[in-house]
Amino acid sequence: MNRIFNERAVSTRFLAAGRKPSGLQHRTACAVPLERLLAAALTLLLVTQTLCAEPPELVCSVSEKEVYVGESLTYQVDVQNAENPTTPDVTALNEKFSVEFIGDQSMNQSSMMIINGRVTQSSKFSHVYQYRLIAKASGTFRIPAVTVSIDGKAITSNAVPVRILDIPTQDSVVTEIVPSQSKAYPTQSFSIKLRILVKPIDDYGVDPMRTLKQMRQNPPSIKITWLKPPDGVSATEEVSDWLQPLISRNNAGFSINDVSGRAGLFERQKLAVFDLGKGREKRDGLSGTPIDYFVYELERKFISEKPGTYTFGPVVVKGTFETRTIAIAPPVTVRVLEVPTPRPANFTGGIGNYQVNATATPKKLRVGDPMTLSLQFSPGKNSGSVELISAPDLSMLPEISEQFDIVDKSPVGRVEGNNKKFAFALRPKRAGVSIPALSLSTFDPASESFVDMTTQPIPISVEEASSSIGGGDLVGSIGSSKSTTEIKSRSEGIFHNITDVSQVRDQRLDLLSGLKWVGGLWLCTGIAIASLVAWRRQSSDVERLRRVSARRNALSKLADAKSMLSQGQSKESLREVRAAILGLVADTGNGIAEGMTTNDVNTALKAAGVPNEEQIRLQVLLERIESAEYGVSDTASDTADSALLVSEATELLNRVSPFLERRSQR
Amino acid sequence: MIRFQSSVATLVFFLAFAPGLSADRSSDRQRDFLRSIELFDAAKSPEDFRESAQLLESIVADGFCSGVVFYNLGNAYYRAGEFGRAILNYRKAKPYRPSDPLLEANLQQALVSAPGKLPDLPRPWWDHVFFWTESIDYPTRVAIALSFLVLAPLIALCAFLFHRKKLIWLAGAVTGVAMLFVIDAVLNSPENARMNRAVITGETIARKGIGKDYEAAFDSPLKDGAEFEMLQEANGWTFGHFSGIGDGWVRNEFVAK
Repeated sequence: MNRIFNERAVSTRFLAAGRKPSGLQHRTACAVPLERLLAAALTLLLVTQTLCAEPPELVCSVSEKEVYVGESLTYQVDVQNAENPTTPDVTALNEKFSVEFIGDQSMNQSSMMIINGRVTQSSKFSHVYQYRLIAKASGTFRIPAVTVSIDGKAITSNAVPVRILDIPTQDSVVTEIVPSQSKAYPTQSFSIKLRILVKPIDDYGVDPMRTLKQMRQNPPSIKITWLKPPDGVSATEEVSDWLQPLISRNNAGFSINDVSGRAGLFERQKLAVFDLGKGREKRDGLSGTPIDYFVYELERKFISEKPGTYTFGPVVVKGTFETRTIAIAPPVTVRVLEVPTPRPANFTGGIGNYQVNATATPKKLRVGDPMTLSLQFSPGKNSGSVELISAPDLSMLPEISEQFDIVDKSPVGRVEGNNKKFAFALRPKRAGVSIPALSLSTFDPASESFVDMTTQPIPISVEEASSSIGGGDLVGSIGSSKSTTEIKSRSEGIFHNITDVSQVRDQRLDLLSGLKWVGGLWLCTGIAIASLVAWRRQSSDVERLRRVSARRNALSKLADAKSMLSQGQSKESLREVRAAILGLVADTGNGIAEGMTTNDVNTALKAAGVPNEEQIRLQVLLERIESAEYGVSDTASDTADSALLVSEATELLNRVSPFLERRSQR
Repeated sequence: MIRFQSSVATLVFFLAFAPGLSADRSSDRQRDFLRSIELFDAAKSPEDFRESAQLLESIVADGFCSGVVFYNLGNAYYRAGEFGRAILNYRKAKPYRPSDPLLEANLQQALVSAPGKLPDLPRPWWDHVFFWTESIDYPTRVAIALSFLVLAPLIALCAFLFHRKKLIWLAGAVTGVAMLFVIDAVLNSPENARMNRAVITGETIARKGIGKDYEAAFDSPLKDGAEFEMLQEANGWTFGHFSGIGDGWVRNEFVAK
């Protein structure tokens, strides 16, 4: 039984003014004080048992009072006032209708109202059963009463009048439902195609749907029954994904059931129009004259989920073509069958054509070593889902079980894309064995028989599990060159240990401390480069060099002057003294000594902030040197005078030079 | 004065005996290593392989890092049927032996054999940038980084000393390469990888919170070999991201890291 939904509504309302509810079954409780209202209500809820005061009743109704032969209508049986009704007996309907059970749903309702302290609880029991009826013949008759058993009593429904019309014979519109196959097996896909052939309306061979649009006719409607797939069958696409690409751009085509399109902001929701055009097809009309029909097709793919018989149709096409026309496509059935039994022992569960590929890793191993045998199943065309395939029981295959230990007999498969992969862990029992060709079977729905598929044999190299290195040779053998050589014999092949003890070293690395050292190096280098640059800058600064060496040069010249004086060259020595003073002033002021006058020296001394006394003394000194240089010469007195001038110049230079140096640094 | 004397004595003792102690420890490790190989080769049952693994575990217990030891540990655990621990140790060995084909083969074999294998964790973007990680082992990469970092300032110094502008460019290029290797070394350091990755070592149910009372995080239990990214650790539970299925808390006794 298909239970659509089961709803039990309980509502509580607090109303200021009283109003007696009507139409439902009532039960009135006594009035209670306001302060105990909530407690009383809750107590009532707990203790009140719903009673069916009214007798059970069956109400039958139909969705259409007038249908065509072959067209379906929905017949509804509503069992009221019965809590647990049995399914209605509808066998009486089979005489004139083909009956298909659609589903049932409970419409039970329960509510409680509290009005001015009066608590009223009401319950309504209703269970609805729905059937799809397709009339077998035309006529006006009453749908016979159905019977339901309630508490051992048979309750009979009312009879419902219905009018079944004959479909007018016409060749304007021909409809048919074409299944891709009448039989399928679980997980196999199949398609249902609705074909509508429409006779051209005009003589110009224009698509009738365009003509109808130009004539401002409503698009013909199609009523299909598989918008929601029947239970046990699923659609490969959702309705929106299936129909979206078919929406007509020019609004010419068919409407399908009540599928509506997108509405604009201020537009009403309109039925969507689908362009189903698929070309032309010639068929004989009723008069035997061939008609070049326009063909419209609507195809949907389904996947069968469980065995059963599934009906698709009927389909009703209604519309105004040349005249008001109705065409009905009779329903078709698709049977989903179980895979027959008995099934072979190596049956994998696959339905359809599959390819199986076997791989083994490692291929070089020793007895007892684990290896992985992978089986990958790839589906062929029109095959069922790979999900169906289960791990083959390798223990049932003697060619495997006799040569290998099977660690995990039923591994969980892994679906990767369209393929399913099983990984078996095996251990070879003896040397020299290999993976033989494996024969696995699937069910071929086309031939309805089990077919074998065989894997390629896989050669592997299995050696005896002998220990190549003696334990006694190894332990405590460090330092022995012979055994060191022996233990370096790392056999090639996976899962063989590395035995070279020299490789066992701590490979820990402290990147941070390394970076600290490197950082220190960078810092030292930076300092070195900065020092280098600074030194270079200083060494290339002529002004500074003159300034720095000004005093030294002046004193050097004074020393020369002394030397000249001792040699009796008094005039030359005075020239040298003058040169020393002018040189000092010029070097500290970055000027030119040649051509410098006493006034220039005075100005420089003032600017440097030399005390007046020194300024005057230096000026007098320079004047004395000039007069001695250019005056009348008396060798003895000249020499004594020059010696005094040199010593005075030395003293003055030492006094003046700090002022000049300070000024030059500013 | 007494404190100074004791400090000097400690220093003298350390300088005199530390190399000896270190050599002793190294000798112990080598002995354990060889003993583990002996046990491995003579092993008949998973317990024997486990014993060999325990010996190797004692070598790496104090932080000793060796690609060889991790590789052999992986082998021992694989043969003991502990695929999760095998995968973990093969992955630990990988930075030290990136181009060892046998290590890669063993790792792949363990991944195939592990019942709990999950889809591979997504590779970080930098794996595609630092293409050399698959061919140069981690210590070499660090050595290259540090060497280039040492070389770069020396080249720069030479450039200033000898007035060679081209050497400045060379120093810049060497620094650039060094920085790439440094970034690689930081991002792909084995410690970093170990901090983030772990593996399930037995069948366990991941929970939505810390405690058995929380509902299961996934519809089926996690099994041996399920690798995951560790996100948090608290109260004996580890919170991880399991590729392809989601996040969940697992008890630490089922986690190896």
